[in-house]
Amino acid sequence: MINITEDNLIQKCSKGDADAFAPLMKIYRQRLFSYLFKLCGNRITAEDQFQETLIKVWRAFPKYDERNKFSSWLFSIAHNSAMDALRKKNLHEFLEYNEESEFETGTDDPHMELINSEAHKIISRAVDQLPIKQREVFLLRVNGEMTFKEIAEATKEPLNTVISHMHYSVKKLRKILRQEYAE
Amino acid sequence: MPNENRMTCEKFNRDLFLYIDTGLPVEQIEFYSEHLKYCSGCRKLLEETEELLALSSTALGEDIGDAKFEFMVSKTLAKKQPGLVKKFFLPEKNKKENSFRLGKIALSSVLVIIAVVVSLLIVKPYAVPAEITNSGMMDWNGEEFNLKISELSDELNGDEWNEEEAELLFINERINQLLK
Ligand SMILES: [Zn+2]
Repeated sequence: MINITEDNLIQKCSKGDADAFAPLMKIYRQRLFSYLFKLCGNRITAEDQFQETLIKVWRAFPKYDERNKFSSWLFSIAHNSAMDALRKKNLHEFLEYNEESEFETGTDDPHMELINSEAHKIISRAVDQLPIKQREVFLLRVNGEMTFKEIAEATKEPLNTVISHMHYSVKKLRKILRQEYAE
Repeated sequence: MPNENRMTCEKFNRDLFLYIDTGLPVEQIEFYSEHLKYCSGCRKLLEETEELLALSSTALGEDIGDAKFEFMVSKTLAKKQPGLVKKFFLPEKNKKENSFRLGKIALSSVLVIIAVVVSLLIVKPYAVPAEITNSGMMDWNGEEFNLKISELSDELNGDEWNEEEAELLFINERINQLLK
């Protein structure tokens, strides 16, 4: 949903105008942090990766091609950064089999919006249980609002694979939701 | 046509996400849209999936907080964007990255070689800077210099040598006297 203001901010950032960076990132702040938080599995890693992403985006801005969708470019950078960090920290395996949900919706951060509704909690927990590949695709679609073609490019996976990860994720979430509401 | 219908339903199920993304050819989208008008099963699948995605995007909402966000932005902006030189070698979007970068590196190398050759041709070897020639430090010629050196060495070594020679002559004389 690029509007004129956002376009202007993007152009200014491309030209190295530091004043435009904070307002532009503010537009994506919550979506980007949510994505990193759910992908990384904990707030500390998510915050580290949020900082990393900001630095990488700012440094890469002179090379941003305006023909590409900005949000996809931003989330691709975030995705690559986070996945690299997870691989390096060898957390991949841990996340893959992390059945015990580490994610609590409560936080000390007074600015954070708490997730109150029951459905939200169920979805949030269910997403945590997805294997990393499925979670990756699901979050890029939901938080990154990327198309599956864009996700395939960002994750360097074939389009069919990406779509089957999405099918799996949605199927699992629907199943969990149905179970929860049947109880 | 129940069989044909079932096949369409299966295909729609498979193409569901591409349909949502409008990542299908126009005629395919039109075909499915037509199918959705009378197939309640596929319609339900589509609605539920879209609902789930919408719900998820709010369910997965987390925030980092104003203070941390502002701190991180200022930390980011303290780092400069890459300068012109680095920018030149950074991979460009929508281009064959490696060949493009190699091309740039090759071009730069050729330019450097040309610059070295030109500088070798233009700059005279052993040229003495003007400030030295003008200061009088170069106010001599080879002959004068050699003369000066031999004078100096004579001066330095002359006395020593003469003393030694005199001593030798003296000893020689004494030997001759004794032999007589
Ligand atoms: Zn159908």
